[in-house]
Amino acid sequence: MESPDLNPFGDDRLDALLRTPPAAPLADDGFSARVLAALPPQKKRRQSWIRICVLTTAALAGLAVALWQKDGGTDLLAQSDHAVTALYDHLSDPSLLVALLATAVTLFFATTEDDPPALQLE
Amino acid sequence: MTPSDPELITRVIVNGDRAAFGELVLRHQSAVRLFLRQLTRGDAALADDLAQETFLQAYRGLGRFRGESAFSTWLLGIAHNHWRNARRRQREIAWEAAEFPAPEENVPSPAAAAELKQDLAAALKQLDSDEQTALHLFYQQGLTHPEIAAVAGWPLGTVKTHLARGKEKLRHLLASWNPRT
Repeated sequence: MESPDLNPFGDDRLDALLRTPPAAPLADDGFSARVLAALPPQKKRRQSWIRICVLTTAALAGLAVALWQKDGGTDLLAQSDHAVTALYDHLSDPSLLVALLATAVTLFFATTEDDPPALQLE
Repeated sequence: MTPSDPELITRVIVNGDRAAFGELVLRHQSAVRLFLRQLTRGDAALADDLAQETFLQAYRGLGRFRGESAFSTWLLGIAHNHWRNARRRQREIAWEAAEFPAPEENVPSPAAAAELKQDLAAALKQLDSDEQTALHLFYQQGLTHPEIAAVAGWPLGTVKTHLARGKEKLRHLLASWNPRT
């Protein structure tokens, strides 16, 4: 008695069958245009380098004025030979530390690029 | 010369070039929409809505694309997540019990190749959703096992299990429809 071939779908044949494209690639049919129309409005790109220059100059100028007023405009200049040492001495002053911290924070935010929104995959 | 995906992505990020993004959409829309149609069991309207959300999210997050996988793989991952979120939202509609009638057991299938493909399509609908997804990504999208794992968020072993089980079920289903039996 002939035994029926119960499973003619061996690995090779099944693989070939599964790889057969079910349909031709989908025509765009205006899909891309629909997506482009739904994109968020473009933000005007800021001139980052101008922003950095202006804010850095302003921050340094403010710091210089603060130092000038504190020392009567003489101390730091008079000790120009020992500028680093003099600046180190000034750092012991809490008010100067606060000014420097404020300058650093300002510069950080001034020079940090806007991050794109996080990609939330979940 | 046709620009590559990474070149187009760079144009979008650096210059805000929307035309470049349009080219990326045009290039990958078919794969993403076909994948979502498979996931939504043929609901073309829902699949296209999810595909649009996929591309919009890709646009917003393009700066975070590291190029560690192909752009198409990254897109399919986003698409899969959108589908999972949509399915979670609409679970009460009994998504899994979508209206695909089971094939009649005793109807002999014709030997013609076209009808064999129809039988295969019907058999595929009998599989679990995850098995269908794994088979689609592997055979239709040409993804590797690690890429499927990345897209679907499954461990590598799970990918292999879904593929093996899916194929085994298909063999069984197609064998029972064999015209010689």
